Amino acid sequence: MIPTSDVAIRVRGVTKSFGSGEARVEALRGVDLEIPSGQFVAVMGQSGSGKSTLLHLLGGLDYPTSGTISIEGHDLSSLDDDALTLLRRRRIGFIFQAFNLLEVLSAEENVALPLVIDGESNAVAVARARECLELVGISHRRSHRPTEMSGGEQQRVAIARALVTQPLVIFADEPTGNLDSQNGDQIMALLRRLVDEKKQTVFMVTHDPRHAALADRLIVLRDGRVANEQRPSQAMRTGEDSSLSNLHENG
Amino acid sequence: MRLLGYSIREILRRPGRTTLTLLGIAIGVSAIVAISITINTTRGAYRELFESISGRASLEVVAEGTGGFELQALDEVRKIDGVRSIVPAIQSFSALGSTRGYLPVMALGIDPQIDRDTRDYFFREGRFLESGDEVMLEAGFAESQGIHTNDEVRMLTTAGTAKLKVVGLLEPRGPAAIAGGAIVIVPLPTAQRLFKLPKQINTAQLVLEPGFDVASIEANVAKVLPPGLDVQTPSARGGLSQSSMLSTEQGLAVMSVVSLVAGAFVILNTFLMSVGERQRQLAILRALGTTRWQLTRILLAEALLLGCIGTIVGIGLGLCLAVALTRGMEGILQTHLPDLKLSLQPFLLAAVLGPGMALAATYVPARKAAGRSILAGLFDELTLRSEQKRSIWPGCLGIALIALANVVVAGFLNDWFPSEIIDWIVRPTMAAFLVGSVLLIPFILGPLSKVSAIILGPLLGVEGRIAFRQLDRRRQRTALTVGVLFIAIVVSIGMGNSLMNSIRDISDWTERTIVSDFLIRSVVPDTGILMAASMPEELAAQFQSLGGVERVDKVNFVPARVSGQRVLLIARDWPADRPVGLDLAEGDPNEVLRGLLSGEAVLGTSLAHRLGLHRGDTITLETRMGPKRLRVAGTSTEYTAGGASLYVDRETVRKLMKLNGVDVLMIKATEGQLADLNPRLKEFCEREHLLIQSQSDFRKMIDGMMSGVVGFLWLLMALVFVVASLGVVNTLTMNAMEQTREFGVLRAIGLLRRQIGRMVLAEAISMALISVVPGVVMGIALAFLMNASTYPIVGHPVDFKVEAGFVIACVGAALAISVLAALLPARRASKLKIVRALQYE
Repeated sequence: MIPTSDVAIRVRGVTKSFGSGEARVEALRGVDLEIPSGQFVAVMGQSGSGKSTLLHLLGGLDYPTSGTISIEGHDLSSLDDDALTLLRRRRIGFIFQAFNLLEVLSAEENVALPLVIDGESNAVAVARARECLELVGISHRRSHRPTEMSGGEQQRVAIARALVTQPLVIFADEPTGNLDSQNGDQIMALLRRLVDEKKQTVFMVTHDPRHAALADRLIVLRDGRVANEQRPSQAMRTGEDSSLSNLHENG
Repeated sequence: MRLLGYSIREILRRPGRTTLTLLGIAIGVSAIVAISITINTTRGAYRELFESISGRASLEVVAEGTGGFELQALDEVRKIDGVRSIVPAIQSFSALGSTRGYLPVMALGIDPQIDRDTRDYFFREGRFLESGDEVMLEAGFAESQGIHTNDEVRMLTTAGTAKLKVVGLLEPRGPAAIAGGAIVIVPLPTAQRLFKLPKQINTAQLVLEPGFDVASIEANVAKVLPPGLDVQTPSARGGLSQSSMLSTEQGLAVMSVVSLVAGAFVILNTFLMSVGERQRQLAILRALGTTRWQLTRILLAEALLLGCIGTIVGIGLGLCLAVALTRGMEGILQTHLPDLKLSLQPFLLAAVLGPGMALAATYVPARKAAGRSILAGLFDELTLRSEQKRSIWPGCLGIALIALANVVVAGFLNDWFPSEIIDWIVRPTMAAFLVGSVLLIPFILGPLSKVSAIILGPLLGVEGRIAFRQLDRRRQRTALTVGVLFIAIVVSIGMGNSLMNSIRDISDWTERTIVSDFLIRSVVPDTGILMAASMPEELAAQFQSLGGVERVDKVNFVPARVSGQRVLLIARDWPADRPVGLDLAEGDPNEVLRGLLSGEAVLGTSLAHRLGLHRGDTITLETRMGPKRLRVAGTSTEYTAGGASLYVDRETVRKLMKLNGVDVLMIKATEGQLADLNPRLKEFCEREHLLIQSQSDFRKMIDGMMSGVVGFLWLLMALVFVVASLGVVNTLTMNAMEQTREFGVLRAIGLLRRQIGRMVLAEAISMALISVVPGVVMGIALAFLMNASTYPIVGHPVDFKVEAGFVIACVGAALAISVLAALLPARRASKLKIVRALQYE
């Protein structure tokens, strides 16, 4: 049991279903989790295992059907849309597989946006955005628009945007899924560095066992339930690589 | 699956956008159809009024002025080859007593023995006229007035009030069908007595032998007619109504073009969006072997299908709108118009223009889509880059079209074109001006967008900044939507401001011209042909004998011909010791008055302009004694009969063209006696069943008629704004759809639902603001041009004044319509589910 003060996210008996009647799909069937601050958590599972749904629920993008999710002691189910939005704005960062940068904004503007939305002055937002771009090593491209950047560069900007509000946790949904292996490795190294140096909590959904191996903890989901939890390095050592590779291939 | 099947599925896939496109086409078509039908119905009503009453006669002989002539004057006409018979008649406007007071009617005096040579009568009950004070009425009209056979009815004539016995009720066919059945048919001798034309007639219908050429017989008849008589086709007498309605018709015609052009831009925008959205599917079709031409055909087929459906809906809407416009026209003309006159022309026009504008608006996007590389489409290479690549030809075409429109306006102002073709060039000129202006918008969009961003940026915050970027990203789409809003603003300001200037001018004219305290008539005249029932002249003396009357001036409206043109001659008493009471454009008031009293004429400025005459020139007036030359004493602002009128002293007219009764009595109260005179006059008029109007009543009547015209144009302007709002809804919906994933991201990183909604609203407000700046500038320019263009119609310059309040109202309307149009897309955008939005492709 982790001391309450160290828990970033606590999940208790979370279920999520979609549709109704015969078309009803149980995406999550009672998930319990505790994620301590500063931990890099990787989630793997076959396609349809519920990993993206879990990320969406933890990130406050959707509500669970039952169960509770607490972030910093706030039960997400009890928050209305505005309160949940404010929580996302200030305490959560997102990194998406498709980068999801706003094409009409430059890299710097994209990164500054969450702060601007939060009412921060433009000068402060821009200064903070530059720091973050510097941190992810893309400051030389700050005035470029997403369409003028490579995938790796765009994902770095997305990471900078996720960091700019100094969130409690960053949710990364297959952050390397749209990148070649070289760029993917660089992004993963960057995330690892953020956890190690900044004590940033990262919750990452991935298909790639090599990248999962960089996490502090690996959660494997199967049919909407937590099937396995271990340290990834241990998994790699104990010859479970083949099962992880299997997940990768089927994911 | 046939390619058409694919097209239909594509159309059905986006029901909202399809509906907007259909509405764009339908509104444009409905305006064209409604206006064409209304104009046809109104023109047709006046033409048929004279045609129906003439029966089978191809020609008629009428006396110049309002007097009569003896049938023997046509002895030579009888000898002309091809003239089978001559049917005498008296046609006069009159007033029939009813439970609701006196109603305007057309009185027709016929010879019961020979009249059936030219006219057919279909009885519902009763019998044909024999002799004496008998009358036949149209059955429906009689029923509406509670009149039955054998009842006695009262009719106001130049000889006073007559009592007539109803002997027959007619079906609404033949002459009984005219003016909604408001016709009174009496025996010729009775009519001769009642209208003071002893042994005379004022019309003779010429029934021709079959196979003879009407025009050559008309020429032969003209050669043998004595002076003062004229031969014409029956419908020619409706000519004056065309002058009266010219301005209103042109205003309506311009507005119909505006609706159509605005609709075409909405369609163009919709298809551009549709093609952009479907580029991957279209590329797949190309990859599968569809040729460029097949692809173009698929898109054109979709346009044609939508064009046809929109046209059908538009025709239905147009018929409903035409009913409303025709009822409005009745109010303006103070007359009864028949049911809609449906001819093939408006439907053919709709059938060509509806699908035509859909095809024209789709051609460019279709060619563009067919020309795009397959790989670019398949791999979603951004269309933005191609959108940003600005072609110069639309700008060149825009400048050329505006220049062309200006050349035409210059020609219009300088009389380069004959008046007959003006009607034809007004619509294309307006279309060229609007299309040209919209084509130039992309070139000024950037700077205007920046200015708007500076103004609105602080107000709209981060949502506004993103909104501006989105608009800038889709320049072409933004430009077209701004273009439609721009058209709405330009036309509203241009036409509205010009209209308000004209209304002020008319109001000033009324104030300067109607100098008497009261106007007395039998009934309100039909303003289309300005004919009303005449009253006995003796009434003037009776009014004069009432205490408190300083003077009674008599006025007659006489249809006449001046230098070959059909005009309205206003014969009026001019007291030598009173101001001339005209809104003079040329001539010193005292000299003009002296001129009028010595037999000279004052021309309406419009007529003077058309004839190219000025003070001191001479006109040739066709009179009973042949052509008479009158010196022009001056010119005056005149709106009666659309300005195709002239003033001559009543005594002069009496000598030249026999006058029958009096149409209007203008009463001036003795100073200080106005209040006392009012009840006495009202009592007298009530007893004599006359219509009394104080000066303010008369002005109210003019205002009422003007508000009818204004109401028409407001209605059509509202239609243009509706079309503009469709454009805004379309663009914002498409923008919002494209931004779905962005909205998801923004929501994910902390933007509130209402902030997303505000972003969409910010786009709408920005587009409105961008359209307002050029819209106001061009609107005022258009108002100035339209003001200047009224010169050839009214013959005098109408003072130009920018109606600031009105301009602000138009700007407000554009902003309001944009915000209203944005509500639905904004609501939808703010309701997006974040996860689904993030997965949106």
